[in-house]
Amino acid sequence: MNFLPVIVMNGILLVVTVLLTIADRVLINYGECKITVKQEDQEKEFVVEGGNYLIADLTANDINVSSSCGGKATCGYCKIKVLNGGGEILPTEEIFMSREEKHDNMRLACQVKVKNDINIYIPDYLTTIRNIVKNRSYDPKLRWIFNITDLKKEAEDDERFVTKLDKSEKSRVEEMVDAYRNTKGALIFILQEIDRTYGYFPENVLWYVSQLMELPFTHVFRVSTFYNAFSLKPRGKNIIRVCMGTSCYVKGGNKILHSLENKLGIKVGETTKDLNFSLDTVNCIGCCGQSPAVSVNDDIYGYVKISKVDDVLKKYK
Amino acid sequence: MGNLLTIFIAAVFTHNIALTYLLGMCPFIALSKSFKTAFGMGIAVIFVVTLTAAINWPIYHLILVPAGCELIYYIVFIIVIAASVQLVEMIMEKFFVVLQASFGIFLPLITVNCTVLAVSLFMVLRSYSYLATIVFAFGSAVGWMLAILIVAAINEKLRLVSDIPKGLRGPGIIMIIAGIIALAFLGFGGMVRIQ
Repeated sequence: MNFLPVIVMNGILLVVTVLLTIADRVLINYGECKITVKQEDQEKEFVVEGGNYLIADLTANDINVSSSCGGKATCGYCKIKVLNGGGEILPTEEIFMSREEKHDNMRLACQVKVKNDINIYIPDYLTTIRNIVKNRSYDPKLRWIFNITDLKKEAEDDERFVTKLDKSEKSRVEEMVDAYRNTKGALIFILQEIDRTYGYFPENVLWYVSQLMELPFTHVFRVSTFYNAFSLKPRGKNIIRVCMGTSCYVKGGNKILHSLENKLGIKVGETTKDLNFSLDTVNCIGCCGQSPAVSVNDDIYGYVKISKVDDVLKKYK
Repeated sequence: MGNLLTIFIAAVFTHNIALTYLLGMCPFIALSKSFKTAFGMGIAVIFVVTLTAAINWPIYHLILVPAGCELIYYIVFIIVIAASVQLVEMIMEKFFVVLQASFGIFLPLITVNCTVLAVSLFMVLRSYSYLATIVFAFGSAVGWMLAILIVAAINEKLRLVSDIPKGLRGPGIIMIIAGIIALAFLGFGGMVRIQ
């Protein structure tokens, strides 16, 4: 029998092992590091030899972090929060993190090397999953808590302009769509109708329109952002348009605009907080004879002076 | 010299290791979300593939062939690749901190990547000379980097402008993009021949 392959194999393994051991001794020496782990239901502290990846040290100490790719940073499941001592976030992790998570110093446990004392927090959803696995039981109450907090957070995020489409609103949009469905270039008419009803384009209404019209959302979005008259943000009840056409500009349209900006406390294209006024510019409203001109909704004011601006605004307050 | 050039062009375009052989798909799909990451990964692959092929060739031709045990070359290659990458990473972490920051962190991700092994295996199958092996390894890795950069760039743009159906987001759309790019690379098909 030929034992040569076995001998060669072992020879190579021996050389490799010796080389790696020497390198390990000579090159890597971080000493002992203390890892403090905080979880929802417990806190643990242990000392490990530095130089390993965090996930390996955690697993060795009976703390399980979910991971399916085996530390190759391709699954992104082993997210934990590093409170201090983990170093900068690596480009291998960045693609798995949202901006919020980056800000919270979330890291992938399989990419953090333990080089000094480290302090981590394992998020509670992991604890929950761990308990489900450990007790082999699933507590629907826990999930219920998640749902409520999620909704609350969503509501806080959107604050002012949350428009959930309920049934009556759905039918309103359906009516608008049905009215123009068979016309050529129907989308524009429908969008105009929506603009008249809402004053702007709420995102979920646009989604619903794209669903009803069987158009890609991108298409609807493209049309709704192309025209100056449409807006994706809520706009005020009264829209002030300051003419910046040649003759109005020469006659001081610019100054009128500035004084309006100062009085309302907003910039061009923005809306006041009480949703009463929106400020815009326009390139001509066909009243060059009365320059400088300002239009509010459908009313036109000619020969506007800075001193008259207050009177105009008062009418709409 | 002409032969080497042919091998290089073939490895980059006509026999692209990612798009023709579909090797190294794991990091290809996971890391093609941002151009910057894909670039770092590409550089790491070029480095590792060229280095391991250069180490594996002498081991195969100077140790395994004379000893008459070519049949264990799979397992030897894998061990050598894993060990050498580990070693390089340690050295880099100690002495070349700047390099470590730019592409060293990708090294552990590709220790046992199939691209790396495949290049070493191809060099045996096609019985390349030492120089040809290095050129082939370098070319293959450049081809892999090219492929991941193309997909990453498209993917980055795609996420900004398009409305991808929910089920296709992430790996799904990357598979489709990679498929279309592979079709495009098929067009290079008749350009050069590789034995």
